[in-house]
Amino acid sequence: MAPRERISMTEEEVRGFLATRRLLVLGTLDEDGAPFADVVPYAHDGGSLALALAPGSRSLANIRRDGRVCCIVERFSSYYEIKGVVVRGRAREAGGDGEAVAVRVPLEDVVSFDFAKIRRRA
Amino acid sequence: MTGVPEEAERFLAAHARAFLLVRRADGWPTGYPMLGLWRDGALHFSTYAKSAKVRNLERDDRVCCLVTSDDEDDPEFRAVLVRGRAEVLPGAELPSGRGADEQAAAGRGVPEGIVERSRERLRAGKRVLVRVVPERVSGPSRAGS
Repeated sequence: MAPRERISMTEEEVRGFLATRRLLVLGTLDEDGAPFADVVPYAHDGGSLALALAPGSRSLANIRRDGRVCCIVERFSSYYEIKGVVVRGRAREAGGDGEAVAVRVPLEDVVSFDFAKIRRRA
Repeated sequence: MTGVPEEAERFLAAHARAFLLVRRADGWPTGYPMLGLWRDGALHFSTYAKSAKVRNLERDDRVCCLVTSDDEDDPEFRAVLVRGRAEVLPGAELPSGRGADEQAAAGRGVPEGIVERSRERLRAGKRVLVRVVPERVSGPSRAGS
């Protein structure tokens, strides 16, 4: 197996990890195609990530033009406990309450890593 | 860039938790959690020369980086946004031969053995230094703002 496969999480581990976090790094595309990033609150419901975006935010404007996004959820408490999940998917608006616009990102393309699975060298 | 705001610069110098966002060949955005080192007015990362992120950067050097507080649960959690162009430099060109992320790694408790291996691979040319010279910097700001 490639190194990344050896330390990737199972689907169940990915779901468990996503449930423990509340912020992610959202990558979107500006009009000229350059990447843009922001930290946004999210919730996880099994099949998708539900992001809460500020109505006037650049991330939301970008998603309305081009729904292709990546979401990075990561935790680094110590080196051998680093965990991360990167999700790529097409974001869709799903309502809002005036304070935040809800955006859903399906778990289409998921890459994960868990450094606790690294076989440690002596 | 004429100058990075003082508060942002202080934050960048004090934090190593970073995310590097780039564009892939298929046009999609993608991103990587990294150890970032702010030095000499630029943000530095080290990575494998043959990695996908280096291929992506060589195709399109426009990057967006976030440097954040370590702990997302901290009510004082903040992030600084750094946008600019990335240069990929061979490890051999490093000033003083030091791995760019050594200081960052030390700051985040990365074991010495891991840091030493990274240093060796930089010297051997297996790893490279990515330097992002900022064009626009904003923050530190709270999540979602």
